[in-house]
Amino acid sequence: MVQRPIPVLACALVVSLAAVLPVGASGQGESSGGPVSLQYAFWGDQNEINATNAYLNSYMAKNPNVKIEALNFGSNTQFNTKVTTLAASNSLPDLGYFYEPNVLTWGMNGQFVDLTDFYRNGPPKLDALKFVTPDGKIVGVSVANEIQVIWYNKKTFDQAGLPYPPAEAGKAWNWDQFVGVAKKLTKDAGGKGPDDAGFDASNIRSFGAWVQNWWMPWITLAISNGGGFVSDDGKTLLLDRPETIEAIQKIADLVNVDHVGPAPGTQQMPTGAATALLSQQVAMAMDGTWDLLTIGLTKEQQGLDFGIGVLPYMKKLADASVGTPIVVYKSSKHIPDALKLLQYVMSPENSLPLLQNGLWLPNEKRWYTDSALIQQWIGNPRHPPEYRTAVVDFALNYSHRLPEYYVPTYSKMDDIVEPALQQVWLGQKTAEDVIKNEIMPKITPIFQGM
Amino acid sequence: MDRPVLHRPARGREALIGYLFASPVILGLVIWVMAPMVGSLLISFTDWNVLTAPHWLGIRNYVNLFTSDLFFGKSLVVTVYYVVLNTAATFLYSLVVALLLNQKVKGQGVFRSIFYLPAIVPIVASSALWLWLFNPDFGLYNQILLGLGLKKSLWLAGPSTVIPSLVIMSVWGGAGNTIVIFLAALQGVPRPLLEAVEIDGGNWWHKFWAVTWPMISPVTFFNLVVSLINSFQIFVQSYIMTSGGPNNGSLFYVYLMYREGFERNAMGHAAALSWILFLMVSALGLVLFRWSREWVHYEGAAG
Repeated sequence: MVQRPIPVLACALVVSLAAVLPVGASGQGESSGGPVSLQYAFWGDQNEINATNAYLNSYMAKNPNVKIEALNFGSNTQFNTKVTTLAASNSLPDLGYFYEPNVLTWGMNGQFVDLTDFYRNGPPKLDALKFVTPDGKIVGVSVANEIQVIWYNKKTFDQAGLPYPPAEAGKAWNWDQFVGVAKKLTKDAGGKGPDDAGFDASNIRSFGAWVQNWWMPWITLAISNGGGFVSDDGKTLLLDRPETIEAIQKIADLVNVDHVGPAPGTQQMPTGAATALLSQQVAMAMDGTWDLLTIGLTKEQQGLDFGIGVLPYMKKLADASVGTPIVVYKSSKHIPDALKLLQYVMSPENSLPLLQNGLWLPNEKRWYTDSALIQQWIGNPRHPPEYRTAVVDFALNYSHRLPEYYVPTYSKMDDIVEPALQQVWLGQKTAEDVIKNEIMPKITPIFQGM
Repeated sequence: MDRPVLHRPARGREALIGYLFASPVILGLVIWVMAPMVGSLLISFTDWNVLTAPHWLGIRNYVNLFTSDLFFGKSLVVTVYYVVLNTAATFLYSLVVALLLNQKVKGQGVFRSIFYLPAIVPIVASSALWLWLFNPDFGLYNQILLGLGLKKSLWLAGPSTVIPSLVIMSVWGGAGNTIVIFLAALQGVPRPLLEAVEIDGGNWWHKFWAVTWPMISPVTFFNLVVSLINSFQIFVQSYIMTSGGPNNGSLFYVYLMYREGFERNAMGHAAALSWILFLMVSALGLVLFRWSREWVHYEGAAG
């Protein structure tokens, strides 16, 4: 009787050990010479997942010895947690997207392959899209370009009897004209505008202009006013220049002085530009070109008659580029194969579906100048006729580089800048006060400490 | 006949079987709780950033937190404010609602379900919903305020209103569990004692203060401790709704830890933050347990 439990014991032991021992980490590729296994990390919604799988599958079809495992990391913020965990367990993928704020710090830590020579060949990429370390190494280039435009609802303009925002750089509004139009489109619950007597600023039903409070819009407008965040050579902080302060103050004034913008906050209009325009809560939304996908769908499915205008300027025409880069990890065991895949993925002709559905802009200069290529990209119903001048030409001629591409301390400084500026957006303090007294003392040591 | 000899091997084997069946839990505890705790303590004494080898810093991370860190102080203030407000609000609300739900009225079951329902709504989904409710321009709450002739509030967008707004959201979602526990305790209050108060001419307040409150004090204490500890761990709302803003007004402690560790890769710094939280919560727990001797009456215990 007493002997009986032994098999049960053995099973219990095995089961408990199996439950407790860690499962093996995802495999590294085998050593080269024959079949190659690559891990490609990315993130995105279902649309981007489908497109990514499509171009990876077509690459595998052309290269039968390569097997690519596509790792979807959810979102850009989840990405960082996962990649940090992978780094700690030495099981980083071979190549893939990387969270922009950390590209330079990881690059300077030697995590990525130096791609400077790689990008010396082939059709030139847009300079604003290159992530460059202070010693001049390119560690990644954005897989897609994105700039900002003015999205607007034509119906709102028609109802007010106003001409649409200009779609050509030569006809762009200056800031005062932009604010003037926004005021005519802002209505409170009694139908009054900001310049009418009896206007109730606390009860506005529709806003003329929505300029968001994150770094892309304010750095762009600061550059347009002759300032910026960091000089192009990466050596000087421009945040406390009068031009920058003035630009930031003007954006804040849209809400608190001109009364044409919705209340500031990190999550304004939670459902995004498309719905805000469709519901006519907002007449003009300054937002990224990536919106074309959702706004285009909103037009097709819900009849939003939208238009695209170029950004207003303060002193000179300016826009800015963002785009997630693709990096190649130095820890990869198949760097030559990874570089081949990089070449393929970075070529706009291989990600046409994402260009054509409006989510991406190409990362190569020739796609903005060669008519045949432009036609491939925008010759479809999703892209309205004014896209050519408002986006293609404007991006080619006026887009500037943003600090995350060349300033390694940028994300640490932003941790201080963004919260402090929220006081300015709320109208509680002036831009000059906050920037000179609260921000500059804290970010100067960080900036110089690099 | 051979009893002593038979007993010893039998006892030894039984003990062995016992240990083996308990081993998954024990191993789990050691491997996934204790070992990482020791690991994080060691990391907190280094400058590890995951990418390079760590260097020993001694207690420098801890010293930096109290002297040169730009967010630690604010985060602590903001978190403690939330903890106090949330615990008090949840506690009072749950107790009152539980007392009401204990009354014999028609549809008692329906009411109990309604008040429990928010507790099972996933927090990510409710965050999206509350963002709209709180929207300063078009959200429902400001429309109600305007309708009552009051001024709009900035809710989540205002540095001074963000924490009360988050407390409202948290009470709505978190009270369910607390209510259920209070309800269970209330039903354990013996009827004869309550009737005795009635006979002596007492009203509902006397019943509550003299009988109900002392009888449910162990559960009250439990709810208090659990609520305090849970409140310290608030994270999702910061992560999804406010990103720690406005102006760091909702830069909760655990969110700061996450950001430092996983977005800025400053693991040593984040580990130091986590150990300070551990010490704070432990100290709080100790104080609470000491204090509870004054007012918690355990059935069957002396005094």
